Amino acid sequence: MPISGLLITLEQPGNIREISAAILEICDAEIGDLEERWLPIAVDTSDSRTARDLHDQLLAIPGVGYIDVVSVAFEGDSPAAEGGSPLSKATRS
Amino acid sequence: MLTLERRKFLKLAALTAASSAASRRAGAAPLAANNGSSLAGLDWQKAPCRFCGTGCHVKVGIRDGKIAAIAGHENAEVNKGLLCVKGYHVGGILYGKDRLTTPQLRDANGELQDITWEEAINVIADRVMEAPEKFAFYGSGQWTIPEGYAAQTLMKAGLSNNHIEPNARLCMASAVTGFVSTYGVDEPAGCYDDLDHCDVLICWGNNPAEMHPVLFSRVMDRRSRGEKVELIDIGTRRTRTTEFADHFMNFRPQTDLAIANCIARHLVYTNTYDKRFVEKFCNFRADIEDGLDLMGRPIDFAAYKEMLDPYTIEYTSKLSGLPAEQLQHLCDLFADPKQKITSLWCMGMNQHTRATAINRLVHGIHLLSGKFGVPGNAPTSLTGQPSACGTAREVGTLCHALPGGLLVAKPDHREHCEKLWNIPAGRINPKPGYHTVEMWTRFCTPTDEGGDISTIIVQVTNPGQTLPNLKKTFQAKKNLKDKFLIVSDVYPTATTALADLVLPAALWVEKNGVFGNSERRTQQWFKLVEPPGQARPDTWMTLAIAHRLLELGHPGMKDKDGNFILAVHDEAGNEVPVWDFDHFYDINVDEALFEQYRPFTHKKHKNVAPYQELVKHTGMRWPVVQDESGEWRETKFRFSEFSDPFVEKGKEIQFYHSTTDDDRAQIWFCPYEPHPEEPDDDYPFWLCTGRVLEHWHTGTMTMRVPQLANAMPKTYCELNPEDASELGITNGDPIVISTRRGDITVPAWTNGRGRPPRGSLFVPFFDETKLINELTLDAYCPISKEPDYKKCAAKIRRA
Repeated sequence: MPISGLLITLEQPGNIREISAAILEICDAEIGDLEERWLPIAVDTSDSRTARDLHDQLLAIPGVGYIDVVSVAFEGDSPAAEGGSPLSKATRS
Repeated sequence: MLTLERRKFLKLAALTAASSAASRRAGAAPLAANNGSSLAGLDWQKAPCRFCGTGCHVKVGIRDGKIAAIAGHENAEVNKGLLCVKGYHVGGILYGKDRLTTPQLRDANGELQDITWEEAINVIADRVMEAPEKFAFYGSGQWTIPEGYAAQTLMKAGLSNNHIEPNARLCMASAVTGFVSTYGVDEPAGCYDDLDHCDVLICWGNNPAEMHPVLFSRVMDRRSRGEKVELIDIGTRRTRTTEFADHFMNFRPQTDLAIANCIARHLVYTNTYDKRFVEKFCNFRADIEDGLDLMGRPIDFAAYKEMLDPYTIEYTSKLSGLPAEQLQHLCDLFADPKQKITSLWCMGMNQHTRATAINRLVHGIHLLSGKFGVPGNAPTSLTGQPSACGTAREVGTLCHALPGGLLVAKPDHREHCEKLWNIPAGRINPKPGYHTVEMWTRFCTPTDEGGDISTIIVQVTNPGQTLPNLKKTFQAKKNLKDKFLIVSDVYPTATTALADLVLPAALWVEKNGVFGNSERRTQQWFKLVEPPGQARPDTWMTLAIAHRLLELGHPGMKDKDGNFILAVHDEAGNEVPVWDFDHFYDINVDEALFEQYRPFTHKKHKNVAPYQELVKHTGMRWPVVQDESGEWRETKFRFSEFSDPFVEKGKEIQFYHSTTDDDRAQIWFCPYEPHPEEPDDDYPFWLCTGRVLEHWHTGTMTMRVPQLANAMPKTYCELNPEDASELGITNGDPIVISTRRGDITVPAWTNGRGRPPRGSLFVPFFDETKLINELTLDAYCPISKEPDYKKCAAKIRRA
């Protein structure tokens, strides 16, 4: 269940209200103060796949130009696999 | 599970970090002294990212001996506190449940059985002693610099054996030959700062939006500030980069050579080339009359002009499929002295049967137009692995190379290295070893039919999935009982599946390390967590093998004075028995080996920084030299007087390792030639292979992150919807892809991400259950010996 800090680069600085609303429609984000065109947010997702999906959904919001990852905390959860890939069997057979 | 309060706390910390990053982007002071990550109460340490060659620096948050968080390092010049989407997963790669934890030897029944490390090292040493000349070492651009240096020393200084290669032969060798034959020395002159200054960014067959996203973000950031940066995507299929491009120039595969020649022709024939730059700093060169080699032959400007003559816009348009207007636009950009142009490329240009040629030609149009040596004007190759530059190219772990950009074939280079290694004169073998395809082909050939490689040790790479034409170059080993394959890795792979001996390796921050990224930046990190089970660092494995060979009496394991060639000493000068794992961490072996390696970098002016300087920084770009105050200074722009300390005063630009010994670079003419396996009536499609966003290379690490494995569990074939329709194929249908080397069945994807043009297929290579490299061509650039994974002829049908 990663908790991610993201930096959203807006295409234009003016439409923050609509973009914030669109973000909150998609997820329960903490939204920070806009600095010129850069909007910081923090999101809590169930797993890293969801985090990635959310990343793409946020990127698709009109007016969002780009998203960078600032931090990801995995604390309290295994950040990794439950099992191996088919290769595990390949080696051992 | 975390308490709600703790989650809220972590979310606040994440927001603080993101807010700090926003402040930095906006040019304001950050909100706090750090990026907020320390609020989470973790022990934070620095390390370069484990994935691509960009060289982002991360902060790794440790709690209870495990990685608990990752953050972009706010002081890192490469990524300025930011990470790409791989940041979601880099912490997870260590914790797959099928980590290899014990050495295993395959028994007579074909089963792998646990053995001790001592037994494993003895098995390896015995194999080497049996036939040292038939032993080969296959490493990686993911080797750390000390790992590569240790392997290099064992092979070239110890065994007098040049059969050592990194997997970088498969990805970067053509960039090396391009740089060396143009400037006389490898690696880019510019750096990532060029991205902050260019007016035009041309992506030659590469996709930085997905493969080097942090670099791409720098450009997008400039656009978001209102700066005009024209982005041109020259490619054979649409990618995510295309979505941001002002121009997508969709060319017919292989005709990039003609496009570059067309630009050069325009500059010359319209007299819009930079005469002053060319006359002062360049010579002209072409291939030799009866073949291809690295250095070619000198030609004059008139001959160069004549050779370019056929490449008119009309001719090139017909050949490449690019509209004349697009070609004209490219020509006009290079002809405009006001435009600062940065070219980026990666595998699209390097994995090419005429890869050295296209590398030279792109350098050539930059030199011809004078778009060189000024921030924003640069031809820059990117790497796909974190230390392809640092370990493969700088340590020289290629079969023809010596550390520091030196060559086994040159007597003065051998003599220089023999002195530094303190080994007897004549110890270094002057004959280059087998390059990657040759090495593996010989390993997979019966001994009595000329297969003179009998044992290979593999570290940090997965050739069982990445070699071209796998049935011939890898899988044929299966039936050869006298061949012995040793594989060190962190997870089971397609390579360990055929291994006779499997060694469990430590990964990333489970060991000390040093990487070198795409912009000549050397980056150091310390071991932060324990590896699982008996997994150990590759450096230790090599030291242990070398020392066992010493014990067995191999004369090459001693230097001129009778000392162990890989001896490591403490401050008092006493040798530390680091080959014994109980003593491996008695001293920082990485520092000792790096400091042994560092003097090798001076002869070619690739001076890397002292290890302790690297400890203080998030990386330093070589050449790094001490100024008058004693401070170590990095170099952003090589060969330019304003930046490079090795350029003589008043020279402005000086190619001080010029192949013509006159401080000039070479502008090459290389003709367009058709691909050796063009589509035809029997195999009418171009087949291109590559990576996907979810998986890094062969998926060895990313397939262990279940969310990634679930998101992209199997490979597929992207094809154009019109082609699919003609063949009666619908989205998701199983289709058989066939080439002259074999066939595989995969699902069709007609509305995929890459949207190939008609007549083209794209298949990712991450899926070990569907090895697309069983189908790829093992033809390679005759100069760089790098295979072409981007082009071969294929056909498809519904399964």
